[in-house]
Amino acid sequence: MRLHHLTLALIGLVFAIGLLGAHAPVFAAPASPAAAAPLPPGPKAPPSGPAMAQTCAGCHGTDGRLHAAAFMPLAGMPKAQFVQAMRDFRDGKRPATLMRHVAEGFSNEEIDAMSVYFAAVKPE
Amino acid sequence: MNSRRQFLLASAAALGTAAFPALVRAGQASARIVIVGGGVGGATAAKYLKLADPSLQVTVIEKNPVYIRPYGSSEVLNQHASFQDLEVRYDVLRQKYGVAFVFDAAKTLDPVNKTVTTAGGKVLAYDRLIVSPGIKLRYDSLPGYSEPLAETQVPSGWIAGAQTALLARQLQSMRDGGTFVLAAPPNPYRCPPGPYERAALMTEWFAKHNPRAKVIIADPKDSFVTDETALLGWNRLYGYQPPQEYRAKIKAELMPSTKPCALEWIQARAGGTPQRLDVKTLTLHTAGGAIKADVINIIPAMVAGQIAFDFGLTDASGFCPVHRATFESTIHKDVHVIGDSSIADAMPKSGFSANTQAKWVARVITDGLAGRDPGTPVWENTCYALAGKDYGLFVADVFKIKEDGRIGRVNKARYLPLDASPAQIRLSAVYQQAWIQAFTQDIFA
Amino acid sequence: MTPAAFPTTWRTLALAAALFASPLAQASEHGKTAPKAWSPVTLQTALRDLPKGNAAAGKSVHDSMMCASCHGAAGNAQTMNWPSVAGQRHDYTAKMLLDYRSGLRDEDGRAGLMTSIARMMTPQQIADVCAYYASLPKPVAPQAQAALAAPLSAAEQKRVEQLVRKGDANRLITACASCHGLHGEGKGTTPAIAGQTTDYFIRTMRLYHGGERHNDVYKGMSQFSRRLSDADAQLIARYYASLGVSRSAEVTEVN
Repeated sequence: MRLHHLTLALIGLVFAIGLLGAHAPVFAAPASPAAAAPLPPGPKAPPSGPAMAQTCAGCHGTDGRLHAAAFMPLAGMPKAQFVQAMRDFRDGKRPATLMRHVAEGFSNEEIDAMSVYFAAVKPE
Repeated sequence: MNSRRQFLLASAAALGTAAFPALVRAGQASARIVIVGGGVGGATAAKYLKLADPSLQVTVIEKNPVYIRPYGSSEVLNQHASFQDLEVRYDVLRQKYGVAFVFDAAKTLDPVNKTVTTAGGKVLAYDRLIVSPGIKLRYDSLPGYSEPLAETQVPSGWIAGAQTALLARQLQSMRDGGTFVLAAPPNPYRCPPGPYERAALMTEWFAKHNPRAKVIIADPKDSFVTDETALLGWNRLYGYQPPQEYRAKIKAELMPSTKPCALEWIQARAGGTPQRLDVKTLTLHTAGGAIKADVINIIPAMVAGQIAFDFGLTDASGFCPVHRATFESTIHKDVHVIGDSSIADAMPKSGFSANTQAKWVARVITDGLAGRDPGTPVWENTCYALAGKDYGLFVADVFKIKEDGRIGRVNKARYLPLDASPAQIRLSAVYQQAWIQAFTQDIFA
Repeated sequence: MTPAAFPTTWRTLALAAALFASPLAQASEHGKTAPKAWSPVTLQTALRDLPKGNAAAGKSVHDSMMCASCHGAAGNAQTMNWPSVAGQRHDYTAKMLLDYRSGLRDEDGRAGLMTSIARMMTPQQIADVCAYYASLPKPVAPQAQAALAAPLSAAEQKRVEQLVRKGDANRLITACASCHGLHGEGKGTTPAIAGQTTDYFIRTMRLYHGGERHNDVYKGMSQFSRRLSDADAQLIARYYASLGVSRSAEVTEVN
């Protein structure tokens, strides 16, 4: 009986706090510094598109072909969409778990090179 | 070797390892790549070599016919996964990609004649060799501990296998109100957040199944990768109160505790350094005193896998020095060392690091054989971990060779922000499960 | 949220999650106390009890819950494997989220993932995201597998239109259009399926056929799918996919 009341009280609390939360931004802006310009490339040329794209496969599938996981497949993604997504991740405009951190590791030029690679991959 | 090949190889040697010698192989048989180790590094290298050039003869020497994945293996301990879930087969690599497997232990290397000999006496000649033997646990680094003890009484379970199953049985049958002691390893070690994830998952499991149980981490260190995020998670989930120096760093509001936390982390500075194991009384002696336990999990100091030593690839540190641009050994030519065994500067010793190192080496080898320059290297380490079943966190790094010639990070933040939303935290836990599947598929499927 | 509120939220959410998640998770695993199926009355009540949703707020939910990872940046799935949700009927999306939440829909690992997500969402967030998806135009057909992308031949078109509009009395297959609408636009809690991804469509028919998916109110789908051959299922999937906005017609906008 006590558990029943406790359950109801907690359900009420969760919904109440949820409603409170609905008035606040669901994704709070991180306290880290505002999005800066892309990090300068090293002394050498940037890595090739394929070399960079390979590092994505551990989450996004070999060649960006992913079927059963919770991540975005990249195979065949239109270039403009890839570039916009990576820039939005890097600038904090698009909520993510770790994609902001990853995107911060790449310059605009490098993002473009990866977008060319993935756009050319046949999805199947 | 025919004289043409000898000439080419002599020229290559003359050019030095920093250049990418154009070995034109027109009219010759496909190059033979031998890979020692069928774990994350070796299997990734095998698949990606075949993807880049299906005509390559790729052979993996691996002593276990079935791979038991160590990543995510702590989830057997809290019954979130079964031991069978850890088993990964090599069937797809063999049948779809045509990778040859020799299920045997690699024993000796002849770097001059470029052959590897197995324990069973098979001799494999290579044009290029990739060595990815993982880690060797130095059981003897803790007085009173040994490999036989690890197999039977005080499991380590840091290389997944029978010890994982043993530890799971011990933890799940621990007496009511018992104490679980985890001896954390000194740096450097495989999977930096791993010991702390293990302790946290058991704390969560005990809260439900053995509410008076205690979990103690005895640590020879004062910090660990993802510590700030993890400690904040422990505070929220278990009422854990972080050490003083973290309280300032963790800006998000810490919850006060109403009762002692079941989880305790004894840093080195507080006397946590493990010094001796007394298996008769199941006591772990630390710098700060003796801890009597019901279950002890020792994660000892580790070095490169034994094969790296047998092959003469290690230096005084117990790991393998490599040229950063190619991961080619600085000791033996045409031998690349990847994964936990390699000295990769800022790259953590993790599966994801091994996976991106393997891909890079596959590129270096196939480009080198075709006379192409692979360009500037890039690697990553992006792994999710857990503070509780529904509380995820991560470390995310992008690596390049920096101006000082060492491998370093080029991204800014590494961890889940301390002000992450509940959705980001829950989704990180969801993604952690998805990541295990996706990662396994990228390597083995 | 003020810092003072945050700790309370965490502890409460953790406790609530522990209370909610465990019995329901056990129920769907062991089938002891299975989630209650809907009756038309309980379903309408639940839908009516949801707060009024706001599409703009729903876009924020879509962003912060990272729905795009599977369902696409604007609700158009990136692969044939996951459903597009753009333009989906409000009541159907709501029912699906409630079904995931209760465990009534639990056909496979993907459903398990959706269960975790749906349980993170408040009723307001559910209502908002339903409003958001309903406000979007119907899906853009994603880049298709070669076999499934081929336009229907005249013979195939005739056959599939027969099935869709008239059904097949011999196999007790009711016309799809009778519930899903003449143009696949759906009705009430029957989903819009125009432009849906083919792999997901075919997998769904198989899951209904095998009984793994069983959350439809009248359990009609298992009956309709029982005698549907694989070839027919593929045909119907291609037909409905072709009713979406074609990719060539789509403006290559930056989302």
